[in-house]
Amino acid sequence: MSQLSLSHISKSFGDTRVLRDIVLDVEDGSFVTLLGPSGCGKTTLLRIVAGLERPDEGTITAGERIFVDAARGVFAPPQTRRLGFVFQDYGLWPHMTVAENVAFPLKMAKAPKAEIDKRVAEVLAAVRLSDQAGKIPEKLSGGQKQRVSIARALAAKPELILFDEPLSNLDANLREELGQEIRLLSKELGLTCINVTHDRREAQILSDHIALMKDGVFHQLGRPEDLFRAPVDLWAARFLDAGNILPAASVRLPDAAPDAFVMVPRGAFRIDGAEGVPAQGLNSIFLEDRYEVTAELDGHIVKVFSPRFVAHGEPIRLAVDPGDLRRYAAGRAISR
Amino acid sequence: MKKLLAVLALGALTASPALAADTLVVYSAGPKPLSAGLAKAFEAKTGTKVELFQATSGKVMARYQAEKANPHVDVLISASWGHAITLDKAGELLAYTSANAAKVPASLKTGTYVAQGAAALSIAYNTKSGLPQPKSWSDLTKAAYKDQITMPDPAASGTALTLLQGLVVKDEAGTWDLFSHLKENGMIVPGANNAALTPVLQGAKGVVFGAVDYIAMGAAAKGESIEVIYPDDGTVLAPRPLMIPKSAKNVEGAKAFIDFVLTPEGQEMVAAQFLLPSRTDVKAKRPGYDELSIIEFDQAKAAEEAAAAKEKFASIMAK
Amino acid sequence: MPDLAKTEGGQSLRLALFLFSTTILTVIVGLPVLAIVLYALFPHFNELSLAEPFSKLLPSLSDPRLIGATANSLRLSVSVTVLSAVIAVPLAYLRARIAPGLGKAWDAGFLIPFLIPPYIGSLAWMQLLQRNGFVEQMLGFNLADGLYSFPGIATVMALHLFPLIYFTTSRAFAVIGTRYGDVAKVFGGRPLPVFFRISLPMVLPALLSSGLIVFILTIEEFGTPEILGRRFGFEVMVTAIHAKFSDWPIDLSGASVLCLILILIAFIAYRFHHKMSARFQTAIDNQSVDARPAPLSPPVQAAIFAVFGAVFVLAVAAPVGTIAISACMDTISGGVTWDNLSFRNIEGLFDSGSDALGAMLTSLTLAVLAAVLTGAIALVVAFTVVRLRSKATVFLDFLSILPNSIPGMAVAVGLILTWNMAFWPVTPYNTAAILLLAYLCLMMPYPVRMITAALRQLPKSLDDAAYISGAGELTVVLRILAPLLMPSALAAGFIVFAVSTRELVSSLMLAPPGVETVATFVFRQFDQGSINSAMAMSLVTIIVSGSIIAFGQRLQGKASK
Repeated sequence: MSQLSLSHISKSFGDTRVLRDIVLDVEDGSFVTLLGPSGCGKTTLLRIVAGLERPDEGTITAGERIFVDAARGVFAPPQTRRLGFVFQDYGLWPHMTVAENVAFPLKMAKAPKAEIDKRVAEVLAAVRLSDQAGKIPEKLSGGQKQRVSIARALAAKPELILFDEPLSNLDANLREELGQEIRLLSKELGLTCINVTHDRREAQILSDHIALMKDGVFHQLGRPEDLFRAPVDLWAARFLDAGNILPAASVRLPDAAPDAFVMVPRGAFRIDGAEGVPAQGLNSIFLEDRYEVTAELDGHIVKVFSPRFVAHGEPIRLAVDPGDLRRYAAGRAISR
Repeated sequence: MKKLLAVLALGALTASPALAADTLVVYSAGPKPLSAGLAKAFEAKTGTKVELFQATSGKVMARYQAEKANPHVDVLISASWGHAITLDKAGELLAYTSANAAKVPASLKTGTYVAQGAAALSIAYNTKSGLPQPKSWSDLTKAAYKDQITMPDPAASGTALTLLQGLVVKDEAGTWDLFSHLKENGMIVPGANNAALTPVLQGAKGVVFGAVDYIAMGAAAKGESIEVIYPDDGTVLAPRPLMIPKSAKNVEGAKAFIDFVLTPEGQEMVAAQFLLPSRTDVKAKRPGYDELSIIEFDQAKAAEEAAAAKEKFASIMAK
Repeated sequence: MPDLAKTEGGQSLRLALFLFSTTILTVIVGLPVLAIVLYALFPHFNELSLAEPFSKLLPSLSDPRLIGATANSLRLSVSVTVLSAVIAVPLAYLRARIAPGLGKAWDAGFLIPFLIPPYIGSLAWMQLLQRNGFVEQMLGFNLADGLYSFPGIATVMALHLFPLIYFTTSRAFAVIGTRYGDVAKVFGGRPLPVFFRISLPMVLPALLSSGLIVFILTIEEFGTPEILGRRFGFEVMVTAIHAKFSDWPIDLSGASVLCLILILIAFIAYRFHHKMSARFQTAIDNQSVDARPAPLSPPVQAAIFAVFGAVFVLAVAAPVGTIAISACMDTISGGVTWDNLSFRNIEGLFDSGSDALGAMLTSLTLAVLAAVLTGAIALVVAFTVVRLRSKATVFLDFLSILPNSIPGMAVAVGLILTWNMAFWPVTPYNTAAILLLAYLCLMMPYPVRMITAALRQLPKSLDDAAYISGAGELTVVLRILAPLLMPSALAAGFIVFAVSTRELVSSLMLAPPGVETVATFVFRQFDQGSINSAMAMSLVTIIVSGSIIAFGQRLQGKASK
């Protein structure tokens, strides 16, 4: 698939406008995540791409093929779009074994039996579940179920794979692990993927590009580092938890407007500078290789990375270079 | 598509929906041995196939009513003379007098319908109940029978209605008085004929006021401890009409069937069920016309006051 | 929402499924009901005439008897529903706490009341409790006054219908598990308040839907009020309707008017249930069934056993035992003595001259066909209503439960009016097929409700995954949904089978000449005064249909392993 193009997609349910004028181009082999709070329209958009919903306006094309053209009444049903889909609740059929679940898309494509068996073995090996082929889904753990779901999505060698919050039903450890696996697999196989999630961590693990959505429109588009380093406004900054949001005055930023805010990444604060704003330590957590210190600064709670432990109640000083923070006035970012 | 499937699937069980001219459709009240026996014998004799629908008189009439848009029935046999009176009044019956009806008493035939046979109303009492044998209707108001009496509901039972009408014609004031006393004596009215008879058979009650005699006699023949008494002060006959609706398709067959029922052979089948054959020259297996004290009355006229009579009865019996 | 427009091939199949469901339900349910409605409005409709329109409405509706009968119907239905719940809910709750093997045995036992026709059950209770009845013959006292009273009739009906609530809520209790109760106990909750404040509200949806069915079944029940109610002057709507159908002069049109009222009441009950269900929608966050709860001490187990046993004796042993004894009595008046007992009645059924075997075969065949066909139709209707949501599906949904509110007699008349028309090129009227149509009409609600409820539990992702994998609608229905819905379809099929074998009133009206069902046979025996022969036939039927169901359930159990 050379490219998936969404052009001016709009959708309403009754009186509620769920998607407005969405435009998106997905490059071949890239992993795009639609990230946003519940109700922002991301799942609807995914289902529209899959053909499980129809847009009111707009077109979707995949290279030469038209998925949907609302104005001309063209609609390709999901069966014809050559997609894979991984569901949040796994969507595995309880009355079929793992192998039968995975084989189903190939059966629908009327592939010969020998080919089906070969391919099923292939994809099960790719997700490391070869020894579970004969089991029924009920007997598997959450992580295993999700892998079966991925295997099934891969079985018919689709051009595009869609993920609907694939990691949200899993425990935290598993989320990381499976997330990394999905990313590796997508790169190894050169898959084009679209993922939907409200979890920023999931977006960070999986994506080449993130589309941050709010109220049915794309709020910000870019690579993960672009979004997290430079959220376009305070809402984005808060949703992404990209850093500490404080009034400019609290960090004693000179030449800042009275209603200006700043975003200070956790690593941008320095503790123990001789200068710096006074703050009070509240808690320290050790994360893999450094501490994350929670402190109170000028009435605001901030989180700071620190090489050392800070005790509850310990007075500290926090300093930041003006170049390391981002300014926002009236909610929108202003250039540094 | 579904219809076809259903029809095909049940091919083995269905009667042919297409009725040829040599088929006769009969809707009859019970008893089953009689209606089935007459149908079989007629078939054997004439070769005409008889399609018999046998149910209570009420259901027979209801089916006839419901089918009016596309009628099927050729012969209607009811256990209630009142049905014939009403249908005739509405002009729905075909006039026919069978040659074999010569020996049928005048009270059991008209220009449009004739009796197959007749039941008589009686007192049926459980011989194991220890109760004294009642001799007249009014005996049942005595203290010995307190809370032991059932009676079929005239609203549900054509025969009970006939009894009620006959007694009213004979002595109106006295009859309503009688029923008031019976009510005071704990008589219950639990439903149609069988709802009144079964408790007496089972021993829960002792005596039925207005039992249909042939049913009780049939039970006694089977070994039940029940005896039929005809009261001194007279009782009524409940003739069972044979009717040909004007909408009948096989009129010749219908007439032949009625003729057959009125032959000695047919009448003997009637008698076998302990009914009174309508022909006086066929011997009955129970007390016949001469031995019964019958209250004669104009049933057609009484039919006009039927609703009022039922209502008055119901109001006396209400709590 | 999925469109029904025909743009690509797949969409036309949706339309076809939708049209199929609508047509089938309209033919089976809609036409007879429409006929009844028209007959109520146009009293000469049976002659295909629209003369004297509405002339029956006012006289029928202003009948003073009607108000009393309606009040009685409502009073009885509410009482029976409440009483059934009072019996069923504690049993359902305790069911989760006894050993699975014992629990299954009780379950099987509590299926038996379904197989007993209500009129036979009432006759049995009469024989048991009346003056000189079995109890008096054996123990010296009778409970006639108790039986022939409002509490008596309500109890008899509740003992017959409580299994409906029992089965639905015990399943709900099992799904909830003891987890929520444990949570409450940890925070100091005592058993009784825990039950009322936590467990009971969580099974409320199941309770409401089964309670609705009990309510509607009670209000349209004929046999018990006719037999027991008459003894103390208690009239309900259905007996009043029946009187109009059978007491001379017959008033079919007036009866149809009363049927309209019944339909209205059912509709109101249905809407009420809808609103209540919406309000009490509890989301249970994890549908897993718990590990076995902690075992209970022997005295408690014994007490639970006693409770189940007592209900079993009342609901099953007493009526079935009475039926069995009656079946073995040579004469009715002979009483329960050794020399009056023999197998003569039962043997008589198998005589060559008897119609009993033919009737049994007819009933069983029709019942199996009804079970299979309603199941298949319900599958398609459920798919249409749940997955292809649109405005018209509300109409389908209502059509599918409408028959529950219509007495069998009305269905019979409606079917006669519909199919006994000269203009049909081929008609099921006067064939056994019309009986099948009557059963399909009467039984349709059970599989449709049960399969629809089960389908609602299946997440849409199962369908979507199949579509994306290349499956069309028909493949989804046949290969994905049908196998998963099979347990519900089978359960519904057993219910349809059981109820069809004993259906009485429409069978009496519609059976063509030469066709007998078990119920018509039994009824005729009773009408001829041979009550014990009727009991014998009922006993044999109960045993045969019970065995078939038991066998079927074992097969089902084996298949799901």
